[in-house]
Amino acid sequence: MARGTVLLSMKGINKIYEMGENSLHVLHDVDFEVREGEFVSILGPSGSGKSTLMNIIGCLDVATSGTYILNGKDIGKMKEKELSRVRNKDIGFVFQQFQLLPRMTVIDNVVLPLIYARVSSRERKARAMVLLNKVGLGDKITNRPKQLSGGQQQRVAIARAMVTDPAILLADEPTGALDQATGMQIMELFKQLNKEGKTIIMITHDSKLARQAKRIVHILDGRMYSAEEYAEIYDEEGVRWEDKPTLREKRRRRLSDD
Amino acid sequence: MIKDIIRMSFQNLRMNKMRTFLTTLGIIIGIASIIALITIGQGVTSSVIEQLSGLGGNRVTVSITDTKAIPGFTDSNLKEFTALDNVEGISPSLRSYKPVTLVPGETNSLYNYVYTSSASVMGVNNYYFSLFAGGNMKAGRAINDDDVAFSTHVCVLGESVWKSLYGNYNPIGETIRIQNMDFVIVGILDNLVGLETRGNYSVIVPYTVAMTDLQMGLITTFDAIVSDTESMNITVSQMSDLCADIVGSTQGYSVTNQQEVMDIVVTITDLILGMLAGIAAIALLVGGIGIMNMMLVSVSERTTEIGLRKALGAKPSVIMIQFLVEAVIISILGGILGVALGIAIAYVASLLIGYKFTFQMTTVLLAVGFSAAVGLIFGILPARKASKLNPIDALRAQ
Repeated sequence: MARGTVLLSMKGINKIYEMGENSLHVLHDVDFEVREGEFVSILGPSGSGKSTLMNIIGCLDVATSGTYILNGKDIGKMKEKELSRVRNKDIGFVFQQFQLLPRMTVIDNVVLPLIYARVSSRERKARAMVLLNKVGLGDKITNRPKQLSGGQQQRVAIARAMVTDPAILLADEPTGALDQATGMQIMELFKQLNKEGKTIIMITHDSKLARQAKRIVHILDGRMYSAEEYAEIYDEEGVRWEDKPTLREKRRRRLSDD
Repeated sequence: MIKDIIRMSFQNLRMNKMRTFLTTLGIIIGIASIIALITIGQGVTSSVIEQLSGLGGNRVTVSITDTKAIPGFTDSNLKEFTALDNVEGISPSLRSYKPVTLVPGETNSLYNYVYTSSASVMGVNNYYFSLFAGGNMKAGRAINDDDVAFSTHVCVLGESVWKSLYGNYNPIGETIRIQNMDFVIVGILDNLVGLETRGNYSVIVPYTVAMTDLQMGLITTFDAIVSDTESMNITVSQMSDLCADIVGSTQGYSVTNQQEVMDIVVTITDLILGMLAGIAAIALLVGGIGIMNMMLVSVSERTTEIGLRKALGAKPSVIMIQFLVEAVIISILGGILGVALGIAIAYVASLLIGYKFTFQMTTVLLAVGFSAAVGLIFGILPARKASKLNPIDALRAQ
């Protein structure tokens, strides 16, 4: 367990979508804590509620109930304008599809969050250059995203996410659009950033990828489980132990199939 | 930050050059037609006013409109008008066709036979010459106050009359017979241009002689010259009162200030101009709707981008400003090009129609300001739509 101060603390988070007369209970009483310097994977299949959880962590959405403290700020009570500021200063997003603006050069893409933070043009350039050099793209700053490979584009996106020096790097399936080798390089970059002290939360459905992180939490049917809790209930394939047929049942089934 | 927003807006507009141009075209056409119409209108109006003011803004025309009530003003009536404060003088005129005869003898050196013709005879005083000929004579002198006061039998020939009677010979000092009375020719009138050209075809005599000896009747209309135009209204009402006294009724006469005529002309041209500008404004409205349409398309095309910008920390107001700036850039661009096109059209029109070409900087500034306002108004709806997009839905839209 990491020893840093608590950066992110969720208690009793529920998310319910009202859809006309029906309501959809997506998150059930989620308790979640991340300390400074951690690298946590949130692992879950599609439909488990992990995207909703990511949106709430990323302050793109607010919970229906529960408390969410990020970097000492109570997010639950914030209005859109304040949420924008938190997204700008405290969170760095890395998306599956990179989400670079095609019209802009690499460096213009990287400085974008700093424009919204009202940082002066000179400082913007300097900070972006430091990060682009760090991700190994210092020589590509005037290229357009389309001129770069997928792996390079994701590196630009990571530089952009890091440029405001956010409290948390929030990556959503960051290797989902990349081949395995390139994906591994991106994971190495995350690990390196984590080693340098950056707190990272990665959302994924891929257990192999999730294991690259220091800690895994599972999310299933809107409920969150620690790795230990999860292992008690589910097998490695995500099937409940109690739902698994016994050996005797299996044999009986095979007989009846014949 | 606004500088960065403007830079990004230009970047976006450059990406869709054709679409941007077509949208701008709507504004260009709207503004160009407004500018062209206003500039042409102003040019024509000022030309008309220039011509009208040749008639003099310091003149009041008094007429008997109902000659059954009284046949006209007598000479003593005219003196009453002349006696009014602020009336510098009056210019009466009488006109009739009379037989004009050239009798050979010691008084007529040119012809050696009797020549009779019918000619227009005008009875006037010296004001006629200063008003319409600017006091210029081709030769000799004009009818003067003494001629009027003493009913002297003298005459001035209009240029056409002089040419048809005497060719190029100098007729001054010769005598012609009007009706049955001899008149000495004292001058030739300079060729008249403008609205009063009857003098060119007339034999001009003192109006007192025309009224009495030539029995051309009473004066039914005359112009009064006012010395102080500031108190024009007072003078006009005094003249109306005087007319009412003379006619013995509040009807049957008219007192018209040239300024009023000019005002009416200006009012009418302004009205026509306003209507034309209104029609042109409809073109601008259509242009504005074009902008709105394009911006709405742009918002839905760029949904993901908007979501991303929000995720990176753009406040709704910043997104709104960005889209507004794009709309305003398009409309200002269209405004500037439209002004240039409109002025060019007006200039070409001025060459074709032949009025004086002028344009006012205020019109230009107004037009550009107006187009910016169009962009702002029609940009609000798309910009609001963009600013209210939910970042989650927007990011998912891809």
